[in-house]
Amino acid sequence: MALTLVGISHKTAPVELREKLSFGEEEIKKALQELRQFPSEEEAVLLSTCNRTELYIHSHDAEHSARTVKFLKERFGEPGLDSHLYFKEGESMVRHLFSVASGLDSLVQGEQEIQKQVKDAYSSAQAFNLTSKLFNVLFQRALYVGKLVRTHTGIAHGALSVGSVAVSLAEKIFGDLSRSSVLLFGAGEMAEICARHLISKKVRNLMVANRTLENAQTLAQDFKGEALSLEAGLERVHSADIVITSVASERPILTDSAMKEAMRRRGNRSLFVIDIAVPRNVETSVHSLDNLYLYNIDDLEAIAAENLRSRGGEIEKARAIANLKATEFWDWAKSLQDGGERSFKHSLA
Amino acid sequence: METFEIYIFNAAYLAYTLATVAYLVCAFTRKESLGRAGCLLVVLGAALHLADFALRAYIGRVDHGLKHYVPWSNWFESFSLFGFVIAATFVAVQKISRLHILGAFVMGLQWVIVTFSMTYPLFSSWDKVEGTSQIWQAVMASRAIPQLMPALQSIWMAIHVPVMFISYSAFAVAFAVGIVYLLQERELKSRHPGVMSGSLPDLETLDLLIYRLIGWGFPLLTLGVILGARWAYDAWGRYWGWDAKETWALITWFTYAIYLHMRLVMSWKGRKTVILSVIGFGVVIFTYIGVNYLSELHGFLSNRGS
Repeated sequence: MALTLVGISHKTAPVELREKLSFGEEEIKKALQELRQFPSEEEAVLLSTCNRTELYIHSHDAEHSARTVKFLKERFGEPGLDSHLYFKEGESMVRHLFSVASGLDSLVQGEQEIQKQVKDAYSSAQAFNLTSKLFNVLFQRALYVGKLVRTHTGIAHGALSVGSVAVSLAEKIFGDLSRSSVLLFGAGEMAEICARHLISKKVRNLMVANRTLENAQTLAQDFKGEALSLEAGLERVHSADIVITSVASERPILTDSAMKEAMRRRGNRSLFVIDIAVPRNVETSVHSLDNLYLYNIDDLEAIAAENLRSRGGEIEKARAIANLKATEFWDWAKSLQDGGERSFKHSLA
Repeated sequence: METFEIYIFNAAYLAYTLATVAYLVCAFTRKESLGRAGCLLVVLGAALHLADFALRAYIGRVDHGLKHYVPWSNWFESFSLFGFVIAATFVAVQKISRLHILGAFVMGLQWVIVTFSMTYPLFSSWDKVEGTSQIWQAVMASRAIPQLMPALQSIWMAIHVPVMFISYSAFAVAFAVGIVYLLQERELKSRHPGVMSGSLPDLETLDLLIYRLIGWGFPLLTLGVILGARWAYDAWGRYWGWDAKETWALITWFTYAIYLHMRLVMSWKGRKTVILSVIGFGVVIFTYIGVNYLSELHGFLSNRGS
């Protein structure tokens, strides 16, 4: 029994190289088709995301593995690739897979997306008959470990970027954001990031207001939103549920009295205001108005930093679970090979 | 038969207790499975509780020969009914919202009420209590099937009281949800919401849930007061006499009427209306318990009634 992994990830290669080596959906199918032409008695799963490309192989013949690795390298056709590749075998391959599925090997540790990516990679390989008993158990177990780690440790808790903090706060106020509308004042990297995150939650509509209408139009087009002049935007604050401000202005553009009026006009429904500008665009006293929640960029960054800190200790716990499960799997795999298959159940004991 | 009734009630109480514990642990560990277990235990507790009411009614009417007996005739029974209806209302809320976290608050309140139903005599004579056997005796004495005073032997007893309690329990659940709202609101206003904010639901959902509960409880309260007036006519020959209970029932009615008016007409939302709904439940509790010490006619429960 030989378990081999060859891969490249954000830990070993810069983004330009990773982009070249990543497989699209169609390319994965093509590659799997090719892998199937290889001699039988072999299992393979190809995992390709924007942060990693990994090929998992199970073969009884070490030469087969070598050939598969060669296939991958040829497929990449990239000189000087060797220094970016990593290889893992046997138990350490199992450990690696379990920590990948748990999000421990991700750029943002504990992220959820990878769980689905592993699942998809496994399903594709299964559809091409490239998995049998060992890999079926291995990958199903990897997905189970990923879930186990996320429910038993806090690694997946709390938003880690300013944009996702903004989204999670908005969700704590409005719940489902598909009924909320967003009004963005001005432009700026952070403001745009927040807007993009909110858009990804399918907000009802988005308005962009800017001093220069053309700038507003460019951004609005990009977001599929509505462009407004600054004055028109100020006139419509009451119609938005989430207001993001990022305008270069010496004096606040949203004053206490303006916000009182806006709250009156919107029938006191909750309003979430994110002030990203320095100096501030929104008078801080508006935070004391009922049902109005004002956060500035420092607040959002502080929450993100706090979430990151509280994840720290959980990573060790998560790693311990993943490693324990890997050893368990490895013992089972060995017993399988020796003929006396041990019982193997899903449990945390 | 009566021993069996005691066992049934104990089983219901045990189910409620376990449900409360499950919900509390669920609130801290965020384990969904515990929330589901809590919900099932509430359903089980309420089913046993309902069986207990049926059994008490049977024992009271057949064994004790009380013609108009309904199992909500004294302090214990009335609190017990309150607890049961809160559990039933909460099950309905869970069917709609599936927010397990509310269980910790609603069932916590419900547990306190059911526990108080059995132990209330102890609070007035705490200094005289010696040893657990005496506590047990006092609890059992309060749980015994009561003698009926003449004013309560009426068909209206079977109608007016449950309607009142269904509306009260909607207000009770709205109160618990209101507390959750105010906690979440405080977290979000603090600008550095912590772990608690993460496990509590969003403000919009909570606000809407409170509104719906009061929207359900208010018409029932109105109906309950009207039925009460009708009963008063049968019992005392007048519909309305500004007895303390009647006055406070009207104050309760006005409190929730103001809530609905503020929300629907004055477009108050969120914090202010939620605070009003929390105060409203305070008025309910006073109308329900406190007034019995003021009212000459409704003092059945403090044994002052005629």
